[in-house]
Amino acid sequence: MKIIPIILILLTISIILPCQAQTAAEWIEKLDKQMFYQSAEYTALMTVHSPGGTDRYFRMQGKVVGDQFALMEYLDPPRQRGTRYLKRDDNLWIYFPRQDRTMQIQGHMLRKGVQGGDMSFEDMTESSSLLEKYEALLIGETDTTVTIMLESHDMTVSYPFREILIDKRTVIPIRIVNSGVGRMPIKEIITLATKRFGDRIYPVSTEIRSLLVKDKWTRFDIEEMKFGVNFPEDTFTKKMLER
Amino acid sequence: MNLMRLSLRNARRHPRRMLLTGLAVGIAVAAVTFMDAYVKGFTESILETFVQLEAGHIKIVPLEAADRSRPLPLEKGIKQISEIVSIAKSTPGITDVSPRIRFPVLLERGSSSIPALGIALSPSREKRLMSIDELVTEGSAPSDSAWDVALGFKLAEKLGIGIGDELFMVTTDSYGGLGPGLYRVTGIIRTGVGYIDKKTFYVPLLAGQEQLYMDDMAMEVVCRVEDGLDGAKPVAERLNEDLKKAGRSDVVALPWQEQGTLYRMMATAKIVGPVIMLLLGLIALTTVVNTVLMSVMERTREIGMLRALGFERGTIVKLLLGESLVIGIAGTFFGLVLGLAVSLLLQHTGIDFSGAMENIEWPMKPILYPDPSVMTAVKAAIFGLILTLVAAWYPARKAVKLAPAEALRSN
Repeated sequence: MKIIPIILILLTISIILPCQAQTAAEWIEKLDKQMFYQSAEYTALMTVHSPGGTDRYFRMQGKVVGDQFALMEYLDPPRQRGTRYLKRDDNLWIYFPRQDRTMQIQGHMLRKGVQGGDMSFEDMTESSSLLEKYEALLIGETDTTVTIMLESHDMTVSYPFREILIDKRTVIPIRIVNSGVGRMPIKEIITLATKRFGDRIYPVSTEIRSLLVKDKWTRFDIEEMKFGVNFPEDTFTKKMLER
Repeated sequence: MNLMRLSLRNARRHPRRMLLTGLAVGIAVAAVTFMDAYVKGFTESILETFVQLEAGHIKIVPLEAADRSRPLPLEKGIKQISEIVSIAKSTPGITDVSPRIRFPVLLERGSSSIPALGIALSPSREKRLMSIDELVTEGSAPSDSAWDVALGFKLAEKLGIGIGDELFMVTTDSYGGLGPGLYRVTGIIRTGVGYIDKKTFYVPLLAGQEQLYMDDMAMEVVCRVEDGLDGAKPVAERLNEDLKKAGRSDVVALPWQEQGTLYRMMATAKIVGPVIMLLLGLIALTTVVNTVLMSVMERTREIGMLRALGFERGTIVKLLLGESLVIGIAGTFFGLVLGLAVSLLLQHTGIDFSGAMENIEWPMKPILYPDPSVMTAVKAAIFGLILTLVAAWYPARKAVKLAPAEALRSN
């Protein structure tokens, strides 16, 4: 009869030990892996909410290869229709169809919000793995979630501190708080909905909230998403940007 | 009459001393004449440029902007601007109304950026306000409906562009997004005002509104008043009442005197004139006092004799004051001639402050023209004469206080 408690103890240990063995760095690696994809194509709706209740809607179509190449085009509203962004590594270009002009977003422009929203161009160009620039520290854990604090001493990062709440089961970030120097919270990113695509779960509705301006947020709702798409070789070139 | 002749004869007894004193009075009067003409020219120039390029006679701004020295962000601009324009147009006393948008932008040239200030306005509405046609020295002013731009000549030089070239810019629109604009250079502006020539460009209001995502919006509405500068205050009050009646309490009409700190600065500049006049007066006063005092001390016996002969104290005071007045009149005349000659010469050639003004963001032309007038001459003449009389008063009073017997005994 004593064998039963022993088996229960062994079972408990076998479940708990691997979980405890997960270090903060390992969780971030898993997160990077979960969020990374070789290639994808999507259409999405971006809602930019300004204080006072004004909502503006932007429908867009994008093609992405890893975290290095991306090409995005606005489909709506008419004012923005045809405006395209090209990302190649850490560089970002924007093409304005009405003026038929392209400019590289750099310097002070990188800090600006896309369409005045809460996602900056700097956020768009970020491509390296979090562990390359941050040190990870596990600061909290429950049965279902784990909280990691990322801290960077690299002066080039947009946010020296990032607190990430990860769903243990799906390895999806439930909530990220990006903070500036002095740990001052700047913005919060919340996953509102996820969707299963084959064998992977991916966030399809995300909200970025400003923690500096009251009642200001930007939401991304992915309407369609296809992973593992093969794009022609010249997809992510300036020629295609200005076509 | 005899007393005057006697004063004149006494004044000529020491020609060198008279010359020195007269010169002191003359230089003070010349300096006062020039200073008055200079301050007048300075304030008129700055006011004219300020009203033309910045303020108009009246400016309607968002209520929030009234007490701010820094410009408001574009999203806080005036909405339903056409309504504001029609209210202003129907206010009695207002002849011209024009909305404007001022927006900062970094203009790209190769890998470097040049900070600039864009002003979107309607050139046809500005004919009697900014008169942009007059500012354009090469090419033509932008037209209301095209994507034209006229820019300061130094800015054009920095950007390496000229008439007919394209100017592409991306700025932050009223929603915080990117606002692109592709303009064709139609005009080069040369105002002489440092910051206009160096960093300002003008685009049509419609194009600016589209670029900045500001449909039926503007940052300010500039008005011209029929009665000119003096009529601005009462008309602004009337306009504010009309705006309130129409439910537009989100904006306020400010006459030019209440816009920014310039008016206060001009008031300060007006104080500088009298202060300098006072300082110069004090310097000249000490010289005249010294001369008359010496003259009195040398002539103590003579004064005693006059007293013994029956001259009254008042007569002796008048005699000494008369002597000073003779010197004062001569010095004042000399000072007026000198001061007016210098002022008139500089009124013609101007005083060039280009080097010093280059980096000063004032609506002020770098060449200042003193503006002498009849009043300038009258003020300086009164100053010179009063100065000499005041300076002579103390020595004259001191002289007559001596008893005749005591005065006769002195060496």
